[in-house]
Amino acid sequence: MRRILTFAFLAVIGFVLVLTVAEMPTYGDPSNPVHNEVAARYLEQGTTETGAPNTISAIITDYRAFDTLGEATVLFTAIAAVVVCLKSR
Amino acid sequence: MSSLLDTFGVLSVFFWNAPVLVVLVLWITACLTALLPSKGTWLPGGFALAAHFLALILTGYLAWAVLSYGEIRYALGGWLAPWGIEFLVTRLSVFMLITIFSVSTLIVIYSLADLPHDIETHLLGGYYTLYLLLVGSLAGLCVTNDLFNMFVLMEVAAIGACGIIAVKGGPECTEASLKYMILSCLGTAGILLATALLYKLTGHLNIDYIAAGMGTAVVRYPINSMVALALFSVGFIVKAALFPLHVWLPDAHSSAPSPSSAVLSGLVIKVYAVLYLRILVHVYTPAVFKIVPVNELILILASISIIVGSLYAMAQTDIKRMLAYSSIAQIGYVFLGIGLMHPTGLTGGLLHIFNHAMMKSMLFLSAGAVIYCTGIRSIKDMKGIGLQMPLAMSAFTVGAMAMVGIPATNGFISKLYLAMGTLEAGRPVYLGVILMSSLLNGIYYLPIAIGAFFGQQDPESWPANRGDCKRLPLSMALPLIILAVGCLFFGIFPRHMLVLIEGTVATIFP
Amino acid sequence: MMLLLNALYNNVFYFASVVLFVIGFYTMLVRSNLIKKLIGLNIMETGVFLLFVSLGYVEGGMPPIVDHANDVVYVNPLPTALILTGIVVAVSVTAFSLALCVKLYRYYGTLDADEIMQLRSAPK
Repeated sequence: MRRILTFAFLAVIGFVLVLTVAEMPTYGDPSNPVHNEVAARYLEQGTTETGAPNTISAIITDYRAFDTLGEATVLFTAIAAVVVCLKSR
Repeated sequence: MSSLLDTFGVLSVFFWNAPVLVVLVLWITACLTALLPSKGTWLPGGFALAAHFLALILTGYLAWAVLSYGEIRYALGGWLAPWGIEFLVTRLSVFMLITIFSVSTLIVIYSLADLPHDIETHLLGGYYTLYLLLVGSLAGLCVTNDLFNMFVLMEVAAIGACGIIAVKGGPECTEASLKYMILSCLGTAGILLATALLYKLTGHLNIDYIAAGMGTAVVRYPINSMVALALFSVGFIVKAALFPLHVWLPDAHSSAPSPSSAVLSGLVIKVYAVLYLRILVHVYTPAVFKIVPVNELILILASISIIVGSLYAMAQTDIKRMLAYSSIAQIGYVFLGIGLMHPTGLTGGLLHIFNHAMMKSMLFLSAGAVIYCTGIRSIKDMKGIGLQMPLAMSAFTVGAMAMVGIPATNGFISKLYLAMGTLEAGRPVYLGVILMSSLLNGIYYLPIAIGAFFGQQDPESWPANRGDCKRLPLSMALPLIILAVGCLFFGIFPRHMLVLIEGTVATIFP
Repeated sequence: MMLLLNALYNNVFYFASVVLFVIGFYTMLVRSNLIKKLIGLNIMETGVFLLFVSLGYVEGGMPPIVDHANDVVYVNPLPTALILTGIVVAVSVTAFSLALCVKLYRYYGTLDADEIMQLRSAPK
């Protein structure tokens, strides 16, 4: 019984997500909202503004460096938590 | 002279960067705390306390600046909003920062004496590291204006919160921590998927820019924007422990060390409620809910949460487990205020965040004090304990009265605003919910308080160690006194906090 | 129906990511082994990451290592950069959860959630 309910639940979620996919902006279309002035500036001025020809490094180390600090903090938190957890009783 | 100027320069840089320093002060101290030798017992706690005082100073500055000059926008690394990450300090952020740091500082003072008794000494450094990382990321969540940054900070908060549960060791804590971790990751995965959908629809991650793009996106891609809303709802409801997804909370909050329970119940779940409010009213404007009544769903879940949480709390025999179930009921009040979508109701809900943070931390800390001194966890053994521990049980009594909403306590003010909100919004049914839950709260809180002072000690259930009741250290008594006085103070003079909240509410419902 | 299939065909990467998300969710709900639950969680997150990364693609786009000399279209670098962060976050979470699993195995001698429930409810 529980199994049937789970499958019904998953079927509903899957169906809704498939409908969502069908409605999304087409894959790879240059007129998608994602390809806006934000990406354009990263690509056009990223090299001059940050000195990195690889735009992805320019973003993770300069434009959105706080996310990278957060990423390092997550790693640090996980290490601290693992150490504390394994050392406790 | 020049050294004076230098000092002034350093200070001005310190305050100029206050929005980000409020996070970094705690994170940096966390890294330093991790480096400390594991011998000393007071040093990590001292570090944590110093960081909290610095953060309180910064919060005070931010409160002054926001109240005098309006909201502060801080571009991290100097990259302006759509390109870089932006911190936005509004009255709501200041309100949350004040709540977080004032309560958290008191919890740190309390934990100085309580923790060495609860966890092993060599783990204290690790505990305070995780604690500081958790509180720092909570502060970051209140000021960040970027959805992806929010995701990263939420993961730091999740690991930190699970870490300070697992630190105690033992099967219950570990299991509770893992359950919390898995469910909270499920929530963050949903929130990240929703972030991806919003990014696809609008091309931005900054909340303000998303809000600007949502007007057309909702019309062009209705299914996508509604699926994103549903995912946000599920994610934040898991993290804030509203009714159907609250299953992780009772285990996690009752098995953790008392200071962890206080911070988890008092602060962590509230922050997610506030984030959910921001998503609802800034990204999806209240106009959307006239077509898709999400707020009705929130109201129903909140009501069930209030009633079911109280009923479960009545059935508990363990004091901390009872307090944990009561948290589910109380987070229901916050969501009730959000779901009403009405100025007065929202004021009540937001005010309840501050009030509940104070009273629930106080209740957990006084329960922790009883456990520290006598080792008693069971409610029926607490009869007559007020004579041995007058201070802890007085604080508990004030907290219990505030929970019920007796006038002259802070709980009364927020419940009054919520009740007025239900009437003004034309929803008297929810007034019934509030009254009924106050009655239920009275049924399970007040007998403990009355029994503690006037109950007859039962010699049969008298544990052997009861005779040698330890004295309550000053550093544990002080936070209880301050919180109890605070509960009464904000019950009689609620104006100070209302100023911040009414400014927020006025921007949401112009 | 044809329209729906056509839309799915055009968005096949998005579709794949949604399928991964549902597979991961299924694993988390149905399996009682804690390690399998964690694997399910990771599959779910991978699905989200795939969706995020494929958002940035432009028809005929090149990797965003900019060379202003020749005139080509580059893909949107932002989603890729975000997912670099996201992957590390997912790894950290998994590491901590696995550490908790190790401890649970020490206490109970099993990693099956149902068995642990039985052991807990059994009188000590």
